[in-house]
Amino acid sequence: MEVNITGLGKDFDSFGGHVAALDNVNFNIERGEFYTLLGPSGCGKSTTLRCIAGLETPDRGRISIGNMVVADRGVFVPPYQRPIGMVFQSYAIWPHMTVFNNVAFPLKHGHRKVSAPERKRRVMDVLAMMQMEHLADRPAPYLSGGQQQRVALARALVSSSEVLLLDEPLSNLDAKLREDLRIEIKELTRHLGITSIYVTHDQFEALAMSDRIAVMYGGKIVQEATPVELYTNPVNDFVAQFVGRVNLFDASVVEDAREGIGRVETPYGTWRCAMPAGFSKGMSAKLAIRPESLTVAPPERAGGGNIIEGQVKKLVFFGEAVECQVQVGQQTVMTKLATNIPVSVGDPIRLEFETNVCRLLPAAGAPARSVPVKLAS
Amino acid sequence: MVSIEANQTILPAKKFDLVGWVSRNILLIVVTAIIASMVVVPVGRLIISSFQEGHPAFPDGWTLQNYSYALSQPNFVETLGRTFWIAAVGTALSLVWAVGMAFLVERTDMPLRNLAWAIIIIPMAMPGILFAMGWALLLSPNSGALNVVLRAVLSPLGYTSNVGPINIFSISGLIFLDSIRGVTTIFLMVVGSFRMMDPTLEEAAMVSKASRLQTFTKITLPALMPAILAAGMYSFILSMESFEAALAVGLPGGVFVLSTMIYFTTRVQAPIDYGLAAVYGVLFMLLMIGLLYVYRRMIRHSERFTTVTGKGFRPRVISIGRWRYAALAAVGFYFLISTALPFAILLWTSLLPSYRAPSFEALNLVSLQNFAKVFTSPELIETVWNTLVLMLLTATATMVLAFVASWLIVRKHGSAVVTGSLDFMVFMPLAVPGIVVATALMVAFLTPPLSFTGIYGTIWIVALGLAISYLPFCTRLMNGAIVQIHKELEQAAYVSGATVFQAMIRITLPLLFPAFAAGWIWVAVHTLRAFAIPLMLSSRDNKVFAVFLWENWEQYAPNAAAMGVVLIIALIPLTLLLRRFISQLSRQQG
Repeated sequence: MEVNITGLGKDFDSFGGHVAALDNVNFNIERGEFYTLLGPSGCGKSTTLRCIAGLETPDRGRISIGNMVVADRGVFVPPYQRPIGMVFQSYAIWPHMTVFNNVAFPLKHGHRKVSAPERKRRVMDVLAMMQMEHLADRPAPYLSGGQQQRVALARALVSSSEVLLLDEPLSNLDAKLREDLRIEIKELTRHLGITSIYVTHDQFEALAMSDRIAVMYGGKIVQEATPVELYTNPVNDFVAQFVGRVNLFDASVVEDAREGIGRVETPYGTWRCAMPAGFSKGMSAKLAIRPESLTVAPPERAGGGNIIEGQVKKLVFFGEAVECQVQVGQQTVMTKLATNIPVSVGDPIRLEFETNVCRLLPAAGAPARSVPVKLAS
Repeated sequence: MVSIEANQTILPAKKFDLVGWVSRNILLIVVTAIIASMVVVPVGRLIISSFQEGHPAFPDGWTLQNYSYALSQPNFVETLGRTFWIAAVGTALSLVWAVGMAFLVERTDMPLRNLAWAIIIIPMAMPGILFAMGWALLLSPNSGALNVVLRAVLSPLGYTSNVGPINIFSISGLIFLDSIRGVTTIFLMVVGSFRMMDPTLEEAAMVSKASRLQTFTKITLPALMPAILAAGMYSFILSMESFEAALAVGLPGGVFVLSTMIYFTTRVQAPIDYGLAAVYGVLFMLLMIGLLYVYRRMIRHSERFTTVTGKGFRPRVISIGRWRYAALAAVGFYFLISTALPFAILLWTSLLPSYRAPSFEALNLVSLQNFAKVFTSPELIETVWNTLVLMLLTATATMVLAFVASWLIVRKHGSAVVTGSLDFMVFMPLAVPGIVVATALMVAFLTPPLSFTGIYGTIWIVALGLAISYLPFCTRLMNGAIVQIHKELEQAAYVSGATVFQAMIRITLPLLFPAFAAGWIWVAVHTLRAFAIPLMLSSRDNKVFAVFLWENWEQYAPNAAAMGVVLIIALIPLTLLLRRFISQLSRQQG
């Protein structure tokens, strides 16, 4: 079922006035698509999801699920009448029931009520799908975190609703389990062909699972794109910093683009870079380079290329790679090096990058000040 | 986690849509209306009556005369002062007992500390009216058992009078009873802080070269002072409105306090001066509001001093050497005067055809006749039936209301203004003493339009009065329990197809069961021993056990004693059950 959101707005009371928690949010999710709302806390992603679920009442805008308008001016369909399943951050497994009764609950109430034998068959089917049949009679409190999350997923899927809402479902699990479940959820939703809307603040989850991602900030969608597009072509420095890690340099254009390649001046050198339309000589901008796009320049190469010179400030060993922090003027530049490259703290180092791996972004991004970026977790 | 200030836009205030508002808040509106009619209507009627002349059913007009009359009476002012004096001295004495025993039980190596714990809270099983009756039998000036013994002891020293030496029907008698009754409440309120006090506070003082005594007086006591004072204030408020002892011991000695004065004005004196009773009630309520305000300020202040850190450590136990046995003797003495002696004399009296002081000759008269007589009387069967109905009715109604009200308050479902007023209304009865609740209900339901409901004189009005009094405690209990239940557990039910009501019944209520059951038993136990409200509202058809017992006491003490013995024996297991439930609950919530 497709989900369509038009002009969604919600206000929260604050200091006598109303503050927009959601401001004109629009998107359209195709049938069977895995769509992720990504953003920092307070950006409105959960509120959007809860509006779709009917747990919040929007103040403006229209939400439709399939051909059912669930929220519009004068229309509000309560959550128990919407064709949805939902997985919560806290799992929300009812502790006074067994696994079976938790999963059977949606088939006992409301519009999805079915007969007892049918109910039993469907509950056992979905538990089998989650490889949890043997736990059917276990009381809910006697489950591990991962098992609880699977029960929550089974409960959301059992009624064969065509839209699955997931509110940070993996954030309470440990790292290994999170990776396993990430793949499991993705496989399952693809297999069932269910439309999924996923809320997370974890960029890796978003990149790994989604067909499309909407990055939200301050109650608005800043960019909507596929994971690859989002990573390689962020619209501004906020998205660049929020999705993956990035080095940002203040730059001003000194040479207009010729065949897509122009030249910018930064405090640390003048570099050639891919220049999209809209930039012209004299404009100030920000140049974004991903850490993995920086490599150590061979000593024989003299000038001419895009060279950044600095001094190794810190080395962090990660197993498959070494993260290298390089002091360049006032700025710390991050790069990722193979473990066999011989560098040590204090060494002078020369980094280079290709003209087509960097991104030139508008100088004034969404946030006025720089955003602390969440590191891999 | 990343945190960024959203670039927020302030929008103009929204337009108000009445129909939409009502439909979204329907449950809240209904519950608020029920509680408002329970709480605000009677209290409002009482206030109106205080400004009316003549009988409230046929008022002669508006007047301030009731107030000027009450306040110009030296009797009233004296009674007010007396009530304060008794409560203040009584509470001070209870504080000494309770804090001392809390210290002994939690911080010293006194032997048998677990037994002492049980002994200290056992008086909870004895209704105040029976405690007072017991002491009236022990210390009545002529034939009180202890007075007889004392006279025998003192006669070689030249004591010749055949009355006294102690008269319980006096201000000091009332203070004595009040001080013993307050101990359990204060003990239970302070014992936790004694246990949880951070021992490093004391260790820091000791390494700073303070002696043990200095540490106790300069560190331990000041750190615990806010908790102790708050408990004292709470107990003081309860003493101010206490009724049972004042009725059983104060009235015969002509010692009036506020609560018995209202009782006298509405139930004894004829014709009843409703205007004056209403004035007393309103002034009493204002006094309570003032005291509660002070109390709330005290506990707010005390949070700054928090010594309870919740780290489950065991505080250092202080060795008190040979004083251990003296301490144990003190606790034993407390047991004697709070429980053993009053119960023993009730038991003794219940076995005799008429009251006489314990002696060997009297042993020949011992029989179970009173029990046989009491328990075959048809009136008793009726009152026991009334009591059971009242208990089930009050406990169920109060807990259902408290559950729904708390759910609305904690979950903030719907309008903030209405939720706030609901929160205020369920707290308000705390400021209305039982005797005033009863007076307000009398005035409200004896006069049109509420007189047409016909519930005056039935068991329902007693249930209503008790429900009003118990609502504050029950909603606090439920608030605490509902906060523990994650919102998403309910929301998961909504998205699974359950309506708000279904989710409440299938999810919230089962998860709340321990708290709900504890609250239910609490109300049931308190209903069984309730006295002021059932007595004030009693008439021919709605008599409960405690009221029947009191009527017997006024005519023939041995019957009342027999009934009292049975009531205490019934209350002991219930009280223990309640203690277990509540302590389990606090462990879960801790």
